Amino acid sequence: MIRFGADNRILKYIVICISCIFFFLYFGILNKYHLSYIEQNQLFRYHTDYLTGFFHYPGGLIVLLDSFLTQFFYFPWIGAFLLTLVSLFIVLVTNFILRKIGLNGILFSVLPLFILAALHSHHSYKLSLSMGLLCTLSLLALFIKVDDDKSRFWLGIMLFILSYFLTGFFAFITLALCLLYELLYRKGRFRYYLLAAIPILAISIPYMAWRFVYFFELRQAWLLPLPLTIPQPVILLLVMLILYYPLLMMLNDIIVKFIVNKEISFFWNWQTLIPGIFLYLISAYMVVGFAYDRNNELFLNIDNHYQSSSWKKILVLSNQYPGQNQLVMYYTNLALYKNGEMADRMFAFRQSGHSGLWLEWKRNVTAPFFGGEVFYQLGFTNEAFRWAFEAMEVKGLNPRSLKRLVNTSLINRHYEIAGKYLNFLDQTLFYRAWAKVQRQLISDTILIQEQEELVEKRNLLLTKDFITDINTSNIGLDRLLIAHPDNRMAFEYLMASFLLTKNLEAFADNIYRLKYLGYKKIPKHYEEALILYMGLTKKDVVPAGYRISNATRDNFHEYARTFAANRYSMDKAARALSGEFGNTFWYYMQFAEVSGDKTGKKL
Amino acid sequence: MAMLRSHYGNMIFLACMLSLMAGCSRNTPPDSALLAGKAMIYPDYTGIAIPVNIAPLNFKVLEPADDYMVHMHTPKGEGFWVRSGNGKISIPAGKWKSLLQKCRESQLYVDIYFCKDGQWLQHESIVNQVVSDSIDSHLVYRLIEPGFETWNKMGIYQRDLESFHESPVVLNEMSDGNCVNCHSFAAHSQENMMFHSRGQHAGTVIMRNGEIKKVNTRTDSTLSAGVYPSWHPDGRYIAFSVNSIVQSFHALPGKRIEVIDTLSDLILYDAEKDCVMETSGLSLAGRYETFPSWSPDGRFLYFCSAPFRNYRDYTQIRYDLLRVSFDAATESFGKIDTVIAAERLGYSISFPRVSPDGKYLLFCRTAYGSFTIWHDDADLEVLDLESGQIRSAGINSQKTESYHTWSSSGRWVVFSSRREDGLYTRLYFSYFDKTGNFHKPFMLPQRDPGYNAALLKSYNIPELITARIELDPRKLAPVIRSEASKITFKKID
Repeated sequence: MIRFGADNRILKYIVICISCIFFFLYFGILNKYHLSYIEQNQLFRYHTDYLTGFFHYPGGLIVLLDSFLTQFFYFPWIGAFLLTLVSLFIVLVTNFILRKIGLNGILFSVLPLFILAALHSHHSYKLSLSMGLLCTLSLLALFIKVDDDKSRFWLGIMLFILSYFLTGFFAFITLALCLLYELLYRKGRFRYYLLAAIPILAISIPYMAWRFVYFFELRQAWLLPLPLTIPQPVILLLVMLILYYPLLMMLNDIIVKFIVNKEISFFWNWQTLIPGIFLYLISAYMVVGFAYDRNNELFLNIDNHYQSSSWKKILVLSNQYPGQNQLVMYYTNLALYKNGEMADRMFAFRQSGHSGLWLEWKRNVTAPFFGGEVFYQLGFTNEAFRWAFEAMEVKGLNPRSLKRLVNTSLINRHYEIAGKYLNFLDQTLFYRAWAKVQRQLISDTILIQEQEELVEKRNLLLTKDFITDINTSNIGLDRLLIAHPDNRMAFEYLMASFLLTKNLEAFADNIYRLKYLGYKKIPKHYEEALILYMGLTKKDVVPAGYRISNATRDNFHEYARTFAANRYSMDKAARALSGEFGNTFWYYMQFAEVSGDKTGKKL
Repeated sequence: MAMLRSHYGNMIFLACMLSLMAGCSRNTPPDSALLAGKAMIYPDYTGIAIPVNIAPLNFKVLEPADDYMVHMHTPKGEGFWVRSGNGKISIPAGKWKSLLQKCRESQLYVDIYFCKDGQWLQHESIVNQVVSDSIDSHLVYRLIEPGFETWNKMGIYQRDLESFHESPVVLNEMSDGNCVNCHSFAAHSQENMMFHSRGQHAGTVIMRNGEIKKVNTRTDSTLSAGVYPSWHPDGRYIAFSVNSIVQSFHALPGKRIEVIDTLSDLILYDAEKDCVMETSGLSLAGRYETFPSWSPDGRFLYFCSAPFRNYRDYTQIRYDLLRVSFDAATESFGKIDTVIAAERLGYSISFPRVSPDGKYLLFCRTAYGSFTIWHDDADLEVLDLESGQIRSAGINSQKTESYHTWSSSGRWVVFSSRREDGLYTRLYFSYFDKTGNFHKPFMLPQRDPGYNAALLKSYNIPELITARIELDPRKLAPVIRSEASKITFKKID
């Protein structure tokens, strides 16, 4: 039977266990794709040059550990387990330190877990920062453990120097916490020596490291390995996490010295348990309610399914996504095409001009990383290579971009380049098998004939050159079609871009291509556009051998009738039509507002 | 029990010794079967002429085997052995230096032995020529990913060619990640150096006579800030092109980027007066002018020029090679001569560089345009300035050969080439003998012969200098981040 008491270890470990299980499930279930995406942003390699490269900057050890552990996020459950493990260590070391300063209360040790959960929910937060905190607390625990003042003084100095090179910025936190502990919880002259030594150490060691060891901007000598830019919520949480320890140490000292005059212990009784559970639940709610980004997870789920070509699942998830997101539209349209439904169902999903068809070129971490997919699928191999290359430039080596660089190089018959990139994948744990298979395609190029995807793309290789400009709204679909009139995707994307920009004239000019591409009937949205166009221009542009179905004609009459009944109010008309006709081109044409709108609202 | 352990220990020791003495394991010249042909090695250091002061030419034997032994020796057989378990041959620096001295103006023999299935085999000897003409001690280049639009880390580095020591001169991560490019030296001297900083900290950093300054070469009267530089040998003037550049991307496999000037002129910067001068003679109406290059005596400025066309007709833009005389005393230019008319030859010319003796001019030829690094067809050609004869430099490949520099003695040329894989630029040296012929080029040696194959950066703008640049990048970074000083503009005749 579990009994309440001042230091009931079993209860304490039960609380830690429950917290860790929730932490694990939170990442394993709710942040599964988030972890997977983080893994896609780095490439841990088992190569001496790569490993030594970490130590070209202070904090190399924790960044190295970060990269090492992150490679296992390839399996999100293992990723969740590793995050939990790191956080558990932080909780245990925190518990040890708090006990040493005379603060007994498991909740104080568990609270950082919630902040860590919130921090790790953000894609720009690095595991290295948690590793840094763990190193800091471990060194503090080691410092506290030493009773002899003189030994502790020299240990503090050595720990700082060592931790500066291994953990960078976190060495200052270590130093500050050691000093605080010394001032608040120890007596003797060495604490004053430490106080005097701190400014000298904090200034001289980083400066000397900058002057003689490292090459970077001077200010970075005090900041690395903190990222150069950290989003506001992450900064707030990180500051909260870092300040948590000194504040707790000071608060404990004040309460002990000036209020209770004895060690603080929270007994396991209903008076402590109920507020404790309340605080615990509030913290958990704050994490899930505010730090957890459900939409982001949904998008990353879509991205994950894109990688495994699960087109139908993408469409299901797209329907679940609330609001408008360009990347979701982009993937939805790709999935629609791959599923053979683009020309029939695209208006059943959110659309907004051609921004959902391809991404505008931007020098950021998102556009090059995701934006090359459409070019790859279109068979515009040079552009797909370029975007993958830019993504690698912005993000550093990452498996997704490298694999794309390999495949586009194989398609272009640039075997030396493909081999070069494969060398990097060879040095990894989880991509070397893929690299091995691809390398066979280089040593025996005939084997490419057995790779359906590569053959399909190779058949679409261009034989006549043209140049593309970046920052353009035309990605060369027309040129791709001229080069390969059988490029069905280029055709459907070109037609979709006309429909989405309401350019009926250009749409009608290209409808003749249906025949050459082997369409058995006119797709639904094309029929809708044709009815409108022909109604407005009185021209018959339906290609010979095709006809507009009666169902579409009847639908249009019904649409027109409903619109006529509500014609005095566009809002009312939109509401009346959205239920039955919200998934038609007519509705998009009439009510969607897009930049570059060719027609305006009224037809 | 202890005795038993000791007995087994002795047995194991004996077994090890026996295995070392047998089969593939030996430290003396093995008896071997001779194979026809030369061994495949990377980099290709076969049949080349090498300077007497070059760093060890470490290489990897590409023949799969269990063990390797390499004998490097003089024609008389004096030399040393290098052994390797993985085919990577790391030559001891001291022995290498001494061997090169012994082989001076004679041959260096490289005998490669390898052991397969217990049988030692030997290929025909590789014979390289060691020439007395030393190469300049240092090479300066930029390392950057051959990117399209974005960049990340880049730096200008100097490499001691007599060893493997490479050190940074400028690192962009020390100045907010800005782009740094177009480093240039006056007459191969490390004392006078310049480079551009782009983006956030735009300006041109000039180190001259022990002083460092950052200037803004952009004026209201010129097209842009200075772009492609050439430093007058007296160290006072720098000729710059000023260009309005667009960059586009090709759709065809094998072609990647097109860098096109929409406008370009030449200007002259006086580093003493901090003044930019422009003359109508160098900014011809209806023409592009770019890639200025001084003759070693400073009396002529060579440059490339083409009639203006809309940049969309970029494949029709062909650059002539022109030159204009310059009188430093009066700061005046003479009449422009056409050295090579592109139309006559049917190709375009860029990167003219005159040899230090003033007798030859090495340039890039390409079907069109001037930014040859992205043109697979770009080759090096040499113009005999006395006879006017043009010929291939004979050191070209199927891929790009582009930026090139003569050594201060004129006996060596370093050039960039994409012959390895068509994308990542590597540096090659070629000996230019007294009869005016180039010898088979060889790649910049590295401590690890596989280094270049694994490097995801390109070498840009190789420039040979006669001594090490004594400058700490940490001291240069504040200059880069500082505000560029304004300069004056003067129109000259």
